[in-house]
Amino acid sequence: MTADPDLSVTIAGLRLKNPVMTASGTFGYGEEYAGFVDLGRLGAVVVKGLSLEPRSGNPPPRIIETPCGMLNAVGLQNIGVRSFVAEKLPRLRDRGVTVVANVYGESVDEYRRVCEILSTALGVAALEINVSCPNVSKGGLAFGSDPETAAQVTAKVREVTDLTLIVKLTPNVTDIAVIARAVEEAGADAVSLINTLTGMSIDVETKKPHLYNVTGGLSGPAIRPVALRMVYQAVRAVRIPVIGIGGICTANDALEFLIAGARAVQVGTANFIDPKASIRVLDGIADYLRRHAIGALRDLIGTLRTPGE
Amino acid sequence: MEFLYRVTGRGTRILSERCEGEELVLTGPLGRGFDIPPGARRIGLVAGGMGVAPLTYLARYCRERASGSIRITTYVGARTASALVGLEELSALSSEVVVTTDDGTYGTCGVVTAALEADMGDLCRDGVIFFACGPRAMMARLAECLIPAGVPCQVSLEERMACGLGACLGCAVAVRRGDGETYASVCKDGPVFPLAEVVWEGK
Ligand SMILES: Cc1cc2nc3c(=O)[nH]c(=O)nc-3n(C[C@H](O)[C@H](O)[C@H](O)COP(=O)(O)O)c2cc1C
Ligand code: FES
Repeated sequence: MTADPDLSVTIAGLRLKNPVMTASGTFGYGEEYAGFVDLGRLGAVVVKGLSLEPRSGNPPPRIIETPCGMLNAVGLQNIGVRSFVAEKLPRLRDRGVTVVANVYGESVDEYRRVCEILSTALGVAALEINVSCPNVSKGGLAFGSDPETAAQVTAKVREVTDLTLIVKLTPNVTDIAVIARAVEEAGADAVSLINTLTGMSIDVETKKPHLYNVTGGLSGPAIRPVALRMVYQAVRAVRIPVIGIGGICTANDALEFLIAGARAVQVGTANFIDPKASIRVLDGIADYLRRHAIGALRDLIGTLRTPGE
Repeated sequence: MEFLYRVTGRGTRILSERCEGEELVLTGPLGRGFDIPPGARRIGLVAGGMGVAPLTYLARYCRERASGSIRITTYVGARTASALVGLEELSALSSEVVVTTDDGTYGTCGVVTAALEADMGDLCRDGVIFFACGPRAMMARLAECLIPAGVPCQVSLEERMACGLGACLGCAVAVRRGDGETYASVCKDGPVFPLAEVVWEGK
């Protein structure tokens, strides 16, 4: 019998008991899955994107299944940061959950104010800034699609928080390395990627888009190779930790990201297929380490062997 | 355990190809079902298309649980005769059944709500409570007919779902809460809602 491998990882100042988190928007505020998953076992729970005021989201239909994935246009429906802090956070704290709060804003000022509130709340371990949101003052162009605005949001948030600051990048850009470097320089402690890829699907019988919003975000196994490539590029571009997201369903999927250099991973759409997916990923990683006689996960991260190396 | 469903896509097709003895993972029960007042004596069921599935189960439940006699008046509507499913069992459970088809190939020609409107006087005298499940257009017409008359009705809604747990917010339906409108999750807050709570206008 080999001893239990050490799965802990550190993201800037934040020590996680293991690298498996749940991705924002796919795990509610955590408690929805409490009947399936011992939330305290997870590396962290990343909650649904929070805005300053509650948001009602887009009209339905909001989701549609696509080959090996799904499109969603939920429109960032959420209860607002204050209700989260008052109602949801205490319950997560009681369960011993490591909470990462995902933040949504339509202006730099909104990001800043949401982060301020979260930074004084008890029980938030880290902030994850979703820069895929449309920037209202720039005609709806995503904050994260331009290195300057991405850096601006990061710097403004940095001023108001001492929490571990993760900036979640959008894949809908020409060069992910440029954006990753820009937010690193602006003070991010880590980057997480990828958010959903913009997509679309049409019902040919009615000639209508399947989503009321016309376009939506593609997620699930379909995006995994794209996500892995971008994580690999980001790892090479920055010195801060990179968190891998995109189509992770099994331990094997997660291991691909970790070997490529991701410090941690997030399980998203897979939670819809199997509510216990995150725990299965976690158990599978431990099995792999035992099987390969690797004592600590740290020793596996970034061990990719590319031809010629 | 028994399920009545229509094969509409890949998932339901895969399900339909399973054989006896195979194991399936099932999560449930989820959400909130029909709420049958203990003293209900007269019940109206309104089923459009696949709506017969939950209402058959409801009728069976009422027959098994009701202490005294309960009169179940059932309205079933479909596009055409071949689209009618599960009529046999639902008829056997009901005290009376009215069937309509859009093209008149079975029962009365026309929409199911028109047939129901004709019987409203009689139904209301008995303090009827309605339970309905069917296409949105049918339920919207039902709302026009029942809400002004103050007749209670619960509807079971359908929406595409990813998680089934109220976590993804993919299955939104517009509802009235307080004096505003908001989105509820069909999977968790429903699938059954009071007819008057659902916003039928617009989208
Ligand atoms: C229904 C749904 C809602 C989401 N909501 C958010 C959100 O509020 N904030 C955010 O940063 N990402 C959100 N995401 C993106 C996911 O967190 C994740 O980055 C993406 O789905 C890719 O990972 P996956 O393929 O494992 O799902 C959402 C994804 C889905 C499917
Ligand atoms: S299906 Fe996910 S919230 Fe209803």
